[in-house]
Amino acid sequence: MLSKRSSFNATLFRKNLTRFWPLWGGASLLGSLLPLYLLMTLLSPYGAHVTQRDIVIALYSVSTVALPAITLVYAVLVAMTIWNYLYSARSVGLMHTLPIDRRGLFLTNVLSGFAMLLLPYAIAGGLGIVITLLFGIFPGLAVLQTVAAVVGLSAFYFGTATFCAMITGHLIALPVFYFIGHFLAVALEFLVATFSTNFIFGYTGPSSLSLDFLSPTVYIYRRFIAEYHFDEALMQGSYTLEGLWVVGVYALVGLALLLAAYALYRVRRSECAGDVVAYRCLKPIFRYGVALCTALTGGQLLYEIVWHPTFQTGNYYQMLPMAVCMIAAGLVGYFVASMLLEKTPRVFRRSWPGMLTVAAMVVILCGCVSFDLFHIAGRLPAGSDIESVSLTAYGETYVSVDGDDPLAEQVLALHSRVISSESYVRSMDRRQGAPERDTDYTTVTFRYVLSNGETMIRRYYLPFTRERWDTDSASYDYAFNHLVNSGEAALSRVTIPTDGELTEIWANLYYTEGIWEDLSPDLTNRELEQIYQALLKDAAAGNLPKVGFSADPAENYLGELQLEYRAPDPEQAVDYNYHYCYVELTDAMTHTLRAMEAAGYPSLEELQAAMVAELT
Amino acid sequence: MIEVKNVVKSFDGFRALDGASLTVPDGAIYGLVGPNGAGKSTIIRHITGIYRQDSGEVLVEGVPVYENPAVKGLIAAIPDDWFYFPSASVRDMMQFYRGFYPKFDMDRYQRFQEIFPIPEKSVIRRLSKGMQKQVAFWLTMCCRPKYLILDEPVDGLDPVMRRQVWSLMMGDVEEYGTTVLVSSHNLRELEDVCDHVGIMSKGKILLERSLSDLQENIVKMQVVWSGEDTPALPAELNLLHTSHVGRVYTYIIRGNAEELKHRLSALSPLMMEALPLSLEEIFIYEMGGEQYAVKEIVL
Repeated sequence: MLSKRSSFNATLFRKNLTRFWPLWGGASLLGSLLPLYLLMTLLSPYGAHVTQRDIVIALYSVSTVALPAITLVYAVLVAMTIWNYLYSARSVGLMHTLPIDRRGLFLTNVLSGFAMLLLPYAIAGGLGIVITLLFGIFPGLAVLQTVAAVVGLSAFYFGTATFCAMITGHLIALPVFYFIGHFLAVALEFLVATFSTNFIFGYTGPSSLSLDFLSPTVYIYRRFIAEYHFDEALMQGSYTLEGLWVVGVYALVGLALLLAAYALYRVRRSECAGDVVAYRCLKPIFRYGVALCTALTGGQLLYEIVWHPTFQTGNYYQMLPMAVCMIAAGLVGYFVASMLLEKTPRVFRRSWPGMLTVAAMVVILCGCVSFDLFHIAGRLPAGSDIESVSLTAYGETYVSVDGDDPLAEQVLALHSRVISSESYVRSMDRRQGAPERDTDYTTVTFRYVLSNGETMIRRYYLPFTRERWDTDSASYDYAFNHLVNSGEAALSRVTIPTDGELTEIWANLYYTEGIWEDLSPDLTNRELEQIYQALLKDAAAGNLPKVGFSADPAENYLGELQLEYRAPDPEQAVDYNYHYCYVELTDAMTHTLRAMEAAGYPSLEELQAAMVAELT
Repeated sequence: MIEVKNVVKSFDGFRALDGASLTVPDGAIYGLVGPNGAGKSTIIRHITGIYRQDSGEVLVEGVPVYENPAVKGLIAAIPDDWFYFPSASVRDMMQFYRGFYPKFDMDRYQRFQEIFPIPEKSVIRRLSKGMQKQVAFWLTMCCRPKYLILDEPVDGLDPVMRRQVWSLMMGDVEEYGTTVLVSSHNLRELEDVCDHVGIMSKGKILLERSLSDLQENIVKMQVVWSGEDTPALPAELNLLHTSHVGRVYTYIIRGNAEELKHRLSALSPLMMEALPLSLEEIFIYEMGGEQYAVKEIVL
């Protein structure tokens, strides 16, 4: 029986390396500039000061910043050269006539690809290792970690590039699919979020990219990082490489994609050379995918150009014109995708059923989002799920408290009132073109950090009217006034967290020219504490400036106070972070002004006199 | 033996092969002829393992060719548009072929340098089309294939080189029993070299026979009738074409020459002669039955 299975073919392997040497040779040359730079630095007068720690930092920077981007680009270039033969009927004819089966071809090509990918890294890395060994600053662990990152990233990116190479029959389509594939999830999430925020009342989109793991480069850049730690005892910082496991997981994904690519190659038709999409079953996905993406991007763009400047009233999109714009853009996308697949512009007659489907999809999408089918606008977190909450308006954060603070309940109640006033807000929003007396607009943001680690943000552009503000106890205007202008809110605004430490207070005083030159006296810890305590006293006494219609016109703004404090920050990678709190300084804040005067700032009387002098 | 059995192959709904079947006996030189778009190149791509059929079987030595390196090792092919690596020299391509075909004959490669006057360090891309074809022959013949598959092989070769190439090929057939499948439009040339012929049209093999059988089965009868009126020919005769110049009538009739002579002599012609048809004529008349549009223009 004439039958045998072929595997690795050394001739093809050598041929690949010799044919495409300019690619990996050029990459090696460029990569070798790094060890050359290292060598020149070590030979320079500064070289004596270079320590192993510096090399570690440099390696980690290269691993986390340069490596993913370089490998992302280089892997697809390698894949384009290795799989190039699949995209021409002539070359695929030769390769598939040879006495080697597809398993052998695939294995040999993949190994050649890996060799081309890793050779430049090996050459540059090898030179670097030799240099650091010669100078006695070889960082063993960091080198091992970097090698692991190089191998992992190469496996992942070459795996994805090979997978993309298999689903297309066109050389240009390979990098297009590859790069789109790598960023599609976050791009789509962003597009859908942008689209939704302009329809759904208060919605700001997801607070974080929940699908970023499907856009690996984004995910890798967010998780694979060099983390700085400061040892206060030693008064020295150090770096650790975090998230190498992410690279490991993606490397496994890359290997899985290589297996999938092999399975595809086994059934790939040689005659698909030149086709944008190599498999019939993927063609509808391509058609409708392109149509949907074009509808989302082109539709919004078209709306912004055609409808928004002239016809839109209010801040929210109007469904009907948006649907029309999206259908127009979606149909163009579908038509272009069909032309690419059929390799002819004469596709209109056969495209109309698909175009109708696209139009229906767009209408359904617009309807779902416009009518808020998933009740996103009405969602409020349960009080027990809230870790912390903050309320921002007029550009200032007025409430920022833990979930168990009584103010948190008031914020939730206010938010609930805002949600139930959606139709009122939308109607006022549409009337914005004609400003009314005693109506004030501001952006109000509710931010909840939930116990599951997620953050929920809702943002509203709210109209406030004096009547509702002062007297309508059922309105959100009233609730807002009584919350934001309350003593409790003022106190919470300027209170440093219990685990925080006040580090500095700066005052930016408006009318000091000519009377006071020392703009930032060095405050002792005692003076800092005295000013802070005075500020708390003013807050409790209701002396902090009010907002909205409750603002006292008789109050004079003398400047701004900036409090700096250090506190643990669970959202940041570092152990603690500096936070800032800004408070407008008025002549009603007598306690604070007196404490400041005691610390060397001008007195209230001096400031008032300076103000009068300047204003008159 | 190469066997193609009932092979169907469609490209986006178009049936390029529609139940095609052919058999190439061992040691035969099989000429595959047919109009443009008949499916000749498609069937050849199946035999060389490039395409996988939708249905049917493509067998060489009784086993499927597709994804079978052992069988493919016995086959060497020159497609109508032979591929070489863009920067490759003759020597580079020789090394490439040598790495895949275990029987690659280096002695032959050296000897053929005298026949194909092309420096082996020449970059193939820079050679003329005819010279590139010579390189293709050079390398392919060195693979010592048991089955040689050629698609429009001598296009671009000058007459001297054509003769050289055919001579080499026939030498291999004689010496090593190589089986050759060759598709060509040049029917006069095929007539000189082929011993079997298959005629293809619209994705099917219309007929395949040895060349001698084929030529014996269709006859050109030139007849001069005695009277003014032309007698009606017997209805059972399979008449493919009639023409006349003055009183000399030419009939193309399917059948045996002796038998036809006997039948027509009953109509008392003044003169009658049976002439053999060339392969080109056979092709044209067979295609005529398939409503081949060129027929009338040629005639």
